[in-house]
Amino acid sequence: MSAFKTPNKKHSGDFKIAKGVVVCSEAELFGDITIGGGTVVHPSAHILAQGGPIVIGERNLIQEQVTIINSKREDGSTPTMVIGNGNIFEVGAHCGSLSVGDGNTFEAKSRVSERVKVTDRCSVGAGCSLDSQETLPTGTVLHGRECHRYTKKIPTQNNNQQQLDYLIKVLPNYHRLTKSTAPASTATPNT
Amino acid sequence: MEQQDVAYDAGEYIETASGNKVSRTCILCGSKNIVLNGKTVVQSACIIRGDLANINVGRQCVIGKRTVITPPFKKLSHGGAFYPLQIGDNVIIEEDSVINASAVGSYVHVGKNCVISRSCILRDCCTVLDNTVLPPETVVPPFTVFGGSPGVMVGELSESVQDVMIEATRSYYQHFKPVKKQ
Amino acid sequence: MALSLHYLKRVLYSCSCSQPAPLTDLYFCRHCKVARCQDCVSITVDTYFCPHCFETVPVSEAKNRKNRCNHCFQCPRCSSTLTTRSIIVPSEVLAEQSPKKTESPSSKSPSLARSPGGTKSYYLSCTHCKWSTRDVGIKDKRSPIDFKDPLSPHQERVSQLVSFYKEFSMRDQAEREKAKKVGRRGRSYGGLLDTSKFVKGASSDSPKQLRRASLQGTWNKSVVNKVATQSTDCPDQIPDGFYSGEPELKKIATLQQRLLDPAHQPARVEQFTPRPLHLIGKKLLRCKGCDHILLKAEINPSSIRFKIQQIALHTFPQIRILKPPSLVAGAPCEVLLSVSNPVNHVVSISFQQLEPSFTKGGKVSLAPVSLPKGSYQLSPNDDMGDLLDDSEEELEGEKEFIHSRLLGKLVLKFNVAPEEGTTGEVKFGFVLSFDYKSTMELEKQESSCIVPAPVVVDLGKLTHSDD
Repeated sequence: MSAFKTPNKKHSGDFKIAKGVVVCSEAELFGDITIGGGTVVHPSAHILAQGGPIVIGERNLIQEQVTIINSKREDGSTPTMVIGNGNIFEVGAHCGSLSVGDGNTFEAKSRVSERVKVTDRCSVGAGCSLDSQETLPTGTVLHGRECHRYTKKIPTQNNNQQQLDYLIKVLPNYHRLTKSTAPASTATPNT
Repeated sequence: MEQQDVAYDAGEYIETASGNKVSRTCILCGSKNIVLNGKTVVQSACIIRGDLANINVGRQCVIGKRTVITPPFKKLSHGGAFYPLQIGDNVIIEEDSVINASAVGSYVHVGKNCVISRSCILRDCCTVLDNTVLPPETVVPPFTVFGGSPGVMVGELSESVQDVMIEATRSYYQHFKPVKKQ
Repeated sequence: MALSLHYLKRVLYSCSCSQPAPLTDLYFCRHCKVARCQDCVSITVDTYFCPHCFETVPVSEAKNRKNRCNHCFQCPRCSSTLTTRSIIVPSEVLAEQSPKKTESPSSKSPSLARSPGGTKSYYLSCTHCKWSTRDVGIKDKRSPIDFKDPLSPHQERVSQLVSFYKEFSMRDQAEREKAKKVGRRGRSYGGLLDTSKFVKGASSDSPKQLRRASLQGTWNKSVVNKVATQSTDCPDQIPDGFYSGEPELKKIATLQQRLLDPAHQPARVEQFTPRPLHLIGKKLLRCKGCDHILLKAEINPSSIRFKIQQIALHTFPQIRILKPPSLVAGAPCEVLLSVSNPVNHVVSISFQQLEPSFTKGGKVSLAPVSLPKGSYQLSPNDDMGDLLDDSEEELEGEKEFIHSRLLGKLVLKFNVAPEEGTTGEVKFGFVLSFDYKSTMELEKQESSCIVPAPVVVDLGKLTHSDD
């Protein structure tokens, strides 16, 4: 019977989670991860620092079933994956890109591979898949199944502060939170 | 063709008093706010976020594997909130779909791998084809078929869709049978 | 997920015009007592409604609006629906921009909101591709419905041509009538064919006046001169660098984007304008045989109820394949078909072989089948399917061909022998005859008749093939 309970996600690794960050314990964290203040990580998100550390900035929103993965490399290098501030990762997004700027939106079920570099205020549409060696210029918008793209002169600002404030207030009432595993603080989860 | 038997591991599913069959591998956050109105099947690895707002699922629904049902967030001038999500009766949501709608009517069929973005409204008796991406705030009128990315109207449904959905959901529930694995 | 929904097209019923269609797509005319498909019904639109805001528009008004909604717009880039966004502009800024406009205290537009901080102004934005009216330089409007289409540059020319040709056709008609009257004795009915008087024209003259003018031979020469195309010696020049310059593909509209707006046909992305959304019609279906209404929906667009709903699913017993059969070429294979009763009284059914003329069209080859003999009774339909009790009533039927009666459905055994060398799907057909009891208001007595329904069942491909 116990085999069918929600499996406890392995939280193994070194997490440096700032104050004011809500990381639900049902989210899977692996490896050396740093998360900046004001970020919210929903349950069943996967942040996997398998091939190197991941640094996530402030005020990011990481929703359910999102995979942020720094995959293991064959040549043994361990590059750091850096994600900036104010990004939104919607349900089911997959991000392998090593460099993500500020204010980007990765809509539901989008896929960005590690060869892509994302700058600021880009919008990767729902269902879009990017796998080419390129750097997306600021303000690029991708949409549609065929990934049509264009660059907006005045990129739209991501304003998810209201949602983040609400979640930071409400989620701790329903979820256990994963805290920092820094040696100075205790590793007991918040109830 | 009649619905064929769909076997499930008897130990994996919980059957409630009103006949709901919910997989134990589902993540039901805030389960006090999630109401399943009877004879609904919620298959494995679903995620239903009742912690953000109330979620009300009607009678005789089928929710496929790995679907994510979250209430939509609406930005308001004085600070936003998550709004309750209402799903009607006899609804089939196939696998891997993401439902962030503000309302889903009755007798609706949502295909595989769909993305129903925030604040969409799906009225009664509509169909969303597989792999559709409905942009936020889309309204799907009754008796229409939406498909593509962005989801636009690609066809119309026959008027018998209500009876077809009632029969499909009822027979799915009747053929959803437990098998005791040893 | 394998759902019974996905297999609706496996069992096709034949319409009165021999067109095969799944039972869910057919209608039933109680007067003609036959099935009608989409081609056997005349479709008219009852009312129109907008698929986004659900505003109901009567047919006459929809024609004036060219079947478009006034409030809702489509994105010119990706064809999804645009959302209206509002921002509050401080009133000092607005006063600077338009000093002549006086703000009256009672505004006719209900959406013009005024707050102590400023006035709301609206712009349209696409949530899918992030296009907005601001990208093409359209100013924010004070009311969300002000984003109407600018008039086409060709509109004036088109209406000139239309009025000219209307006048031309009327003159032509009048001359033909004149010729007939002179040529024949007796009455000429040419005037009855003149449908121009029913057409609401754009011409300023009334049809009567035009006819009178043309009959009198006063051909309006000034109109002809106005409408004639002027030729020029200097055609439009192709701009420099048209062939040598590099095309900016990202700024050129695709064909689909261009044809979304046939009046203006924007060639470049900067020329995009929001497209008014097409209205959807609520259909009214009439039987082509007897002109009775088969389908009439309620006026409310959100409603799924019908005032009149004569669909075949409510009358014809529905046949489904119980489970995928194992098919072997050259050998008789048992196929189990379930028959369900849609009505709440006992119905008798029987099976007959299809007429040879059915397959003579050469469309499909049907495998030979041995059908259950005799007549069978179907138990009445119980809407509360979950409350069925197991006790079976005394119902007629040859027990040899009955497999079971489960959950109110009768399961019968058919024997299909797929022919040797069958490639593709194995199909067989039969005629299902059932007694239909009609209780129409005019006929006070119940009348029942046998309705034959040709059915073709697609069993799928052969499981094994004899080598």
